[in-house]
Amino acid sequence: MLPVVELIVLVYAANNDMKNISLGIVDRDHTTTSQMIVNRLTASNYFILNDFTTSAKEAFQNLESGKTDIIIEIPEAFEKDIYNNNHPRMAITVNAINGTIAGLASSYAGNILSGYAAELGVTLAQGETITQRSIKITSSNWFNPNLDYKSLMLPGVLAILITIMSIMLSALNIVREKEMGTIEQLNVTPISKLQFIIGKLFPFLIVGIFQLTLGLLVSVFLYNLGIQGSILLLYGVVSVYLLAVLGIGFLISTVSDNQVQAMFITLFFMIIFVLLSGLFTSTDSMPVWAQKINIINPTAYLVDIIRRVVLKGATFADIKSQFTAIVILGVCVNSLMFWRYKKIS
Amino acid sequence: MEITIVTDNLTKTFGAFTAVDHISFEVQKGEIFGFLGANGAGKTTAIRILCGLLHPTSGKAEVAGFDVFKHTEKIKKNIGYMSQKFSLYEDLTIRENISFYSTVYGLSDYQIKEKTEQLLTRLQLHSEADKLVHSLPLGWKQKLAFSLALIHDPKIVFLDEPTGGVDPITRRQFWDLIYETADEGTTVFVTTHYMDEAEYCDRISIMVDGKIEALDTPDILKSQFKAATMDEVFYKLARGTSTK
Amino acid sequence: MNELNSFIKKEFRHILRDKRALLILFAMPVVLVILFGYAITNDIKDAKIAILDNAHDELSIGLTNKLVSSGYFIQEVSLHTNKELQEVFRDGKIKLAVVFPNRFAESYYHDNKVTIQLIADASDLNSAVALTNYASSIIQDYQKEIVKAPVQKPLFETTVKMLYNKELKGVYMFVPGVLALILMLIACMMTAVSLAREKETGTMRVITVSPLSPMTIIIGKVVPYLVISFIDTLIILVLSVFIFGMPIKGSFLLLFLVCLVFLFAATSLGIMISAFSSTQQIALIVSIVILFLPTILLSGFIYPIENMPLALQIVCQISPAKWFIEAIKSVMIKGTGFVDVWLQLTMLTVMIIIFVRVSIVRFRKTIA
Repeated sequence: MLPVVELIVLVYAANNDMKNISLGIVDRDHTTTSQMIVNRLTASNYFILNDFTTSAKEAFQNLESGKTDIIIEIPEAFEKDIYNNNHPRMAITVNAINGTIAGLASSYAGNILSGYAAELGVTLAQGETITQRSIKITSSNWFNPNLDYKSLMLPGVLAILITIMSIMLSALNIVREKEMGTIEQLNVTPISKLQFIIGKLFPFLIVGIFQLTLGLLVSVFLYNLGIQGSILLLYGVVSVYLLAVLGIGFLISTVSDNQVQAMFITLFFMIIFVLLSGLFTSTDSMPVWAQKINIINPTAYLVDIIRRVVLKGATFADIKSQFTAIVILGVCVNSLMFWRYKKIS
Repeated sequence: MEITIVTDNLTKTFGAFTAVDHISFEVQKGEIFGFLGANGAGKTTAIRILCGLLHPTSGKAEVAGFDVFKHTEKIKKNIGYMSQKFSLYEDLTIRENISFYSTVYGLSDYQIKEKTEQLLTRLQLHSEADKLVHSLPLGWKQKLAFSLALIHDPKIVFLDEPTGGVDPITRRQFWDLIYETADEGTTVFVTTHYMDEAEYCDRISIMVDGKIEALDTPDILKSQFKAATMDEVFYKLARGTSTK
Repeated sequence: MNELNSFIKKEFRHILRDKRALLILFAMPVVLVILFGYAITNDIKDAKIAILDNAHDELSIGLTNKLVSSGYFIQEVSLHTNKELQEVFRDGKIKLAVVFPNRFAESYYHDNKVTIQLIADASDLNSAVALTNYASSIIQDYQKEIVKAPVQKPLFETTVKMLYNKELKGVYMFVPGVLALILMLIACMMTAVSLAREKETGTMRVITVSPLSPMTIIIGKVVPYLVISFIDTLIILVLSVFIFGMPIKGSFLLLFLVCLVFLFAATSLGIMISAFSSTQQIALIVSIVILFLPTILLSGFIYPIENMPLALQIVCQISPAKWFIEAIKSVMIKGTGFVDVWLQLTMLTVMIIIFVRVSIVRFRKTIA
């Protein structure tokens, strides 16, 4: 049950939307101009005014404690300096620990302020006609027009939860029997190795498919996730993927001496698979060698495929190369596992 | 004779369920007391109370002269415990297991050294002392676990199905150890599933649905129930309750 | 005291005896930190874009050059029709397309107004938002360049100062996050599994029947794993300072204190998990399920907590990793003193007390 709860809760967590940047203003001018600047910033949707003061020291303390992310300082006699053509300067200070956010926040603020400066310029020029040429930028976001993080995260988190559960259960499975000694009992039965392994894989495959179904039901009924592509294709891909992941799990299980080792090896791969999968941070931002690692990362393929099928309505032809990659990975790990298993018993 | 365990109307209820229902018995010093009953009859709960792990709902009980309500810590110092799983650390050596369990019972460094020598000599394990317990045969593990339960010379030792999964010869040898221990004056409180083992006990009690339905020496019980073996006694008792 | 010593010694023997597990335990953080220090970032570099240039005039070519020379973008394909646009996106080759209208320059100079279209593949939202933003600002810059009119000094100007992280390095974000994730998992899982193993093998029974107090057992379990994970902490810190240039501006003492308190919280959480699980398998699965994704998602590691819905922000408060990440950033990057992290330390301490209390109560109930 816990994974379902996680699915429901965690999809809300992922949001890199730049809204609600916590803004602190140091206003030492107190004029209509300074007031207008504050209004412009807060009207933009990007910023929320969380601190308004005349003391720079206080503002910095709030930035330091994390109460605000960005401070804009309006100096004394700011309005006067504008009208006297003294070209005053406003200082923007950003908490840049999160570099991406800091960069965007400062450019948003900079744009709003320079826009205001230009406007003010026009008003002051009074009648002098200045031709304002402009390039207007319209942007559209395909496949997810509302920039809805939830519909993006749902399939991804679902994929990862299925991965975690499958790889863990399978990794602990054989090693557990080794530890308890029951594996000897199985080995003396007339069941062939191949039958044994298939017998092991199959129940977990069913469990994985069941989790997928549960997850999809939650996604569709609770979050109205519209699935663009074919559901059958989704099930087909996940089944093949599960076989590959279970193979990895069993392989880990056969090389480990005990459950602790199995778990830490699993963890090691899982962290790599998940963090490199491109779900949380884009694979495009990764260095080339990290993208190379993703060649053998089944989770990266799955996240990619699920996104395409669910959000873009991709058909089998569109995902053929990723699908083939998963199949190859699956065949490789499963034969390796089979070979290893024969050796230990 | 000195009495080491006494219970008087000892009762333990979990909500509406009565696991132990007014049981009263006494166990003497140096006695081998068999504590029998089917799974779920309340054996385990009774043992937990006597080991000071669980407070009874009502009734009285004293173990090694200490009250199970008030002096559970003192009880723990005076009892030994061994279970079916032998409770050894398989990834530690024999010597390391001995030294760990000795300190757990508060033995001094000198005592530990002495005890270790004694124990290794008695079990003839000197050559294996630095091997992992993992590599020992089952019978040896069992003996080692039993010796460790006695390392602090407790007044009573609780054996919870100590012979599970062990072959008959080893079981026989193990019972020799139990007799030796009892002869030295340690009370042995043992549960078992093997009815032939029940015959080795000085006295046995049979629990059914939380109550003690029979308590006496094996011979008297057999004649009382007109049975040839303890096995029969047990089944007669169990059937009696199922038709009730 | 003697009992406790012996318990701790025994626990270390378990750890040291399993050489392979030990190797994984120390190698894992090294590999992961190096890997993720470089790999996990939301920085945009060399993003593949498509250009659909319907104009082919001086301005559209100029702007294309400007985009490509910025270092953020690589022109993967030149398109000619809108239909091709559909295809490349479905293909997944590119993440952003820039569409120039017919007569781009002409419209700009004569109508004074022209529209350029940016299309992002929002199935990868993280990069979609960032790419659109970067592209927009480049276009705006370009516009300033081509305004040949006498450069009139603006009425007022702004200066930007980036505090704590002048170069906007990604590692400042990710080192604390990866540190929290690895330590949380190692410290918590190792403790949980070692206690669960004693339950599974039956040694727990003997220990509880013995005169050892629950507190001795818990401390005996916590200390060894605290030590091991603290060594891991040192390894990760050394790597992040020497390889990734993480600063340690605050005092070492405070940094160690923060780490120790966090590790204590993680190990006691492990104890609590094991108190509720009867086998190693359950302990391991429960640890991973409740730790892995929540530590990544609900700690502010990748996604800012302020952006989450209120209910979830409240959930984040009970994540030890959230407080640890905050504290570690303060001490390492901002160089703050004790007064600025007392809240974080207090919260972690409160958690430790709760975890230990719950475990003791639970132990008394179940193992008895």
